[in-house]
Amino acid sequence: MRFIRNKISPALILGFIGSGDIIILEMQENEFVFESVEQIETEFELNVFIFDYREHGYVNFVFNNCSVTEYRAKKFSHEYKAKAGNIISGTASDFRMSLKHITEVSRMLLNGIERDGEKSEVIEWLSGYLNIYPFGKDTEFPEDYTGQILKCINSNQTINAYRRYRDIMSKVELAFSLSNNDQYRQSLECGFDIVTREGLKRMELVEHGIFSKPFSRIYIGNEFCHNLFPTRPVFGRLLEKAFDQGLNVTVMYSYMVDNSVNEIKEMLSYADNLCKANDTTIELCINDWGVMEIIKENCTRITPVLGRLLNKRKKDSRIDYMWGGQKYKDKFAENNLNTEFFKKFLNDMGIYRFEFESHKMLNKIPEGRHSLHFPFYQQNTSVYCPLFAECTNFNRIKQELVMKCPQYCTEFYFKYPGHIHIMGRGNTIMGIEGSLLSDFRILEQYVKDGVDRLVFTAI
Amino acid sequence: MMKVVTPLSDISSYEPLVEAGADEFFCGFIPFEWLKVYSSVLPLNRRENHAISWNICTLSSMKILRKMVEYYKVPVKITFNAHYYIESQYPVLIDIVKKLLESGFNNFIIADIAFIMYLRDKGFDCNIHLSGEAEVYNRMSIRFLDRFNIARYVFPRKTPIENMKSCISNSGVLNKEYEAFILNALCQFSGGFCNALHCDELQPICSMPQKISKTNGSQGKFAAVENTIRIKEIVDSGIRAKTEGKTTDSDKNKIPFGLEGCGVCKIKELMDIGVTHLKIVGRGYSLDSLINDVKNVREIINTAAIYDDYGKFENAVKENYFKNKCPEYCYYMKSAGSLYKNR
Repeated sequence: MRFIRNKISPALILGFIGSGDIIILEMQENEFVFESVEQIETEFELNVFIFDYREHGYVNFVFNNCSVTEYRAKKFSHEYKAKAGNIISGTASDFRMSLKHITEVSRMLLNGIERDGEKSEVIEWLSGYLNIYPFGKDTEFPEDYTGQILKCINSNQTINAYRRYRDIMSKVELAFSLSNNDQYRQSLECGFDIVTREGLKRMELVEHGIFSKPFSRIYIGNEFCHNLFPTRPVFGRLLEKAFDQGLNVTVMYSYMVDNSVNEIKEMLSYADNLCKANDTTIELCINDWGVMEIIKENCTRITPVLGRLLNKRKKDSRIDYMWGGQKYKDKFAENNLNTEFFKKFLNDMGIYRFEFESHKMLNKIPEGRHSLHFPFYQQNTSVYCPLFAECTNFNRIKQELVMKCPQYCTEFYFKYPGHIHIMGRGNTIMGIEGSLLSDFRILEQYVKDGVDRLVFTAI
Repeated sequence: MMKVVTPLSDISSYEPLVEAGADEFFCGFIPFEWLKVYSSVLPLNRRENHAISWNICTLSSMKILRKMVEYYKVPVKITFNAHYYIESQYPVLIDIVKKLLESGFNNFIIADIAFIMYLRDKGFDCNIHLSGEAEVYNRMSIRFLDRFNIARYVFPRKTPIENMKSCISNSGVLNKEYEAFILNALCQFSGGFCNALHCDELQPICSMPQKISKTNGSQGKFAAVENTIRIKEIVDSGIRAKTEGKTTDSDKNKIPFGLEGCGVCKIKELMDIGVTHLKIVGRGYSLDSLINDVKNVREIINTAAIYDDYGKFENAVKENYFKNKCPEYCYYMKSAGSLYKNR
């Protein structure tokens, strides 16, 4: 990319004269050049804030008796060269070191930290303070698809842990997610019980305490790919089968591309009528405001719930290596669903339940009853499928909107370095997070906070 | 006439880009009152790096910029397009918005519906452009979101032209502006659905090493695809071995026009369906490359009026700007198969 590489970012060094900021153009120990919107006095006190990567915060230096040595009137501003006065807050040597550090660190970052390797002096210095991402491990890929998943969700538990999970689950509804054509077909051919049991067997979770109770709800559809929603006949049969078995149903639909609008209207109308015929209701995960617009016009038996694509938050398995990440860990747990006014807006539209995911950072659950998906979480999704692009154009970035999909995702996936626990499934990078399965206290806390439903996705 | 929306990372770039033909700018403004509390870890907009010069960080810069805008009459809109904000950020956000309004800036690009709602509830009568990060792909969403008095909809990157046309014609909302991406930074994923970290110390997730592989349940349904992938891997690793270490720093600034994402041959079609603004991506890019981008896009827009035929216009653009060898990454490739699925 064509980034400017020879300039210190203005976010790294900021200056103030009085209460007004100035634009620092050049800064050295004894002299600096700056731009100002108004004219300034020839002598002044300068407040400088320099970013310190070690603390992930700003260090303040104050110089008094600074004096202008040169002035240039520009068309819209004033440019000054000034001599730095005495430093009255901070020390001259700290100031020198701060300037040196941001210059060296930002130069390294601008050139690509991964190129410097672990032997760089700057990285060696920083590693005393920060968690440096192990770029060397990016060459190690997992052996196979299932093996990688099983490794991430290693769920050996003690008898005590089993009992604790079982007790916690007494207050929690358990749901199974069917999200691709193979699962839809197998469910119709063999029944939901077989599909759920086989799914648990493949994931080596049959004996886990979370699954000490039966599934009482089925999620049908796909929140991330418009091509993985079942066809109308299959959808209808799945609904009927679920109704017959007394299972609760949540339907999942993704973003809605415009050419699907009429089809989705018809699908929702069909589902609504089926619910009327069976005197029941279903939920629908809303991942597109346009779908909400359709429901409010047309459907009385469909209860909207907020889907995962609209529950926006940072979800990245590499968070431990983010500089400053730990400092802001609590804040990452929140998003706009924790604001009262937005929650009220959603409630006023009939959306009371929000779908969350178990991922590397904890979620701050807002008041109410909500769902938690596990062990996979969505990290990135593309409306134009990169896997389709790779399989047809042999270049994952040569993408287009796919409406007739051969479902390459049943056969292929993108492997990523094993240590970051993600995989590319179709158009989505999914993270794999096993902490809910290995530490009952996490589940316990979520249930206390308002999670009353767990949604399990199998491979 | 269609307008060219140009990125601005530094106020010193304003005048040269106006001269090059920019009709409007967008920039990020992240003042110290935000940086000292949230740094770039909790970002104010979607340029989340700290070490790259993507954002303007002083109110002085904005005031100087305002003087330039008054002189040259080329407006600037400010990005508040983070996917979400948390409750504790609202007082700082509102303070920043107030300062910008007082300084004469009242056009904002926003992605978080909650923030738009908050601004309207508090009586801020600013112009809101709904960011592409809001991922509005259909006419029903436009209808739903119009309650917030949106002045302009920015189509997300991955929107086919036919779908844009349908949104513009069939949403039922009137007197709106529509903006479409035209150049640079064609990402592997959809921005509004990308929850990965974008920070200096980690590679972008879309640049991470990745390999296509078979799932355990694979039944060999796509043998031909598998074979081609295998051959391509062998060829690619050979090319990598030959070219490793051979690119230099100076090569980074010589990237040809359109190489990182291009849709310029579709400008006439976009114009005719009602797209009013074309967005060039590139905050943090070198001024020379942006000047080149703006000039070329401006020229191509001016040329579009001469042609009646889309095919002839496309051919002319491809010949004149790319010597008939299109850049690899196209914003507006044709959809695979019919747009209407058989059910």
